[in-house]
Amino acid sequence: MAISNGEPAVEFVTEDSASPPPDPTLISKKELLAQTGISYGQLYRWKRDGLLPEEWFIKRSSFTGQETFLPREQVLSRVKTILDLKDSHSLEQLAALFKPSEEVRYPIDYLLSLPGANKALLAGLEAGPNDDGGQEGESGQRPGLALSFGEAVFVLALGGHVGREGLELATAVDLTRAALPAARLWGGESMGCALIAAGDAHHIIYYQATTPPLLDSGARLIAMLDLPRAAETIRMNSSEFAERG
Amino acid sequence: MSATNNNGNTYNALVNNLDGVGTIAGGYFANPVKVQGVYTITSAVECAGMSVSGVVTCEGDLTSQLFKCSGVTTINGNLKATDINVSGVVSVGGNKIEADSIHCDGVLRVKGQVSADKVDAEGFIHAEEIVGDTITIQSYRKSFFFELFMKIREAFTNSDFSEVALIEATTVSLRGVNAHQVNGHNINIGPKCKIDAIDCDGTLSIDPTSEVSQITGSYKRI
Repeated sequence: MAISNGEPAVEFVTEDSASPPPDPTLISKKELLAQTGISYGQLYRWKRDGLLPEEWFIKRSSFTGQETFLPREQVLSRVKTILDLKDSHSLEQLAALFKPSEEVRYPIDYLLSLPGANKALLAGLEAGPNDDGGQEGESGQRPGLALSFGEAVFVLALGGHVGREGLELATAVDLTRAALPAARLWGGESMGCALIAAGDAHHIIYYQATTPPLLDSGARLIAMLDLPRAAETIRMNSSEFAERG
Repeated sequence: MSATNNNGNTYNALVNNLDGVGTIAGGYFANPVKVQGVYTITSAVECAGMSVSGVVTCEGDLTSQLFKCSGVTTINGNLKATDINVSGVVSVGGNKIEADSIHCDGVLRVKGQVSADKVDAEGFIHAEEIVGDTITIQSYRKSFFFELFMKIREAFTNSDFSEVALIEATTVSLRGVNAHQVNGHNINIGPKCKIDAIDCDGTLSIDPTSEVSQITGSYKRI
């Protein structure tokens, strides 16, 4: 059914009849543009410059062919951050901000200053016996504990769950120590993190965000840690931190 | 002159003309590279600029500031450059071409996606997707010889005009393009296009000689 010029459009498909997103945690590219008011040009420029990670663009087939979806919460908060900062920072600076280098270390003092930081957990972590956890040279240089980006994100995100859901402070400190090696390897926002309990013991699981973990009946999911928000908090504050140090 | 080389930035720093026939290792080239002969680059290459008027095959990714090709370039990896200017033939076997600006009078072929702020093509682009800010593709010219050329070309190959599965940009302007889906804010479909579906939320114009099957979005027809 070809449309020749001058005639009104014969088919007008409204938003409502478009295929629903396969999953509420995802947002379609079109909806993202409509909600944030950014253009296709901006979206693709940011993707090319590494401000939006390539693995966020998830292709799913839909009745019109193919459609691209992105992780809803993460992309909305990232776009908001970019829009807030884009007038004061260049795109290169922003890209560097979103991809913190491996070498950057975050001292406990700095983490204590962040909004939402759990001071008791951080203090416990710094004070506690570090002999068991740090055999691998990590404690070698320790004028004060400093965490890598992945570790800092984890500690900040776990902080919100201490004292709730049966997670005592002492347990949380031990759990954090046990989880830090895994947290160090956190592969960015494509990975999620869950707090689970098996019997009385608490554990941390990192998983690919596209496929949440499936647990056996003996294990219980306590909480999904909000790593993206913690990462965003650290990034938002770390530009000042980087300027200072 | 032929140069076969396996290691070294020091060597590469001296290379700026590749004439004759040869094979050279990739790596970082400090000077702009000019290929006038027939060359194979055996691994990924990064350079300040590359201009090809001969024939070059790059077996890895090619990263450059300016990339200019009036000859024939085959890249097995991805192509990334600030400015791409094609008046010859460029085939990219990797899955993306990324640039700030692309100008194409010749033929540009990629298996996957072309992403650029500005795409301005008067030649042919074959890609799975072309995305960016401003995309202009004019593969059709109204002249007797052009139409004759297209008829002959059609007789020998299955593909006529530029063929793309998805074109998505803020501003899209097309002539002589076959596409499955075109999404954009402002869309201008010129003559001799075949488009399966358009999604537009700004202004839309369609030439009477073009075929469009479905239109969605809150657009304004002009």
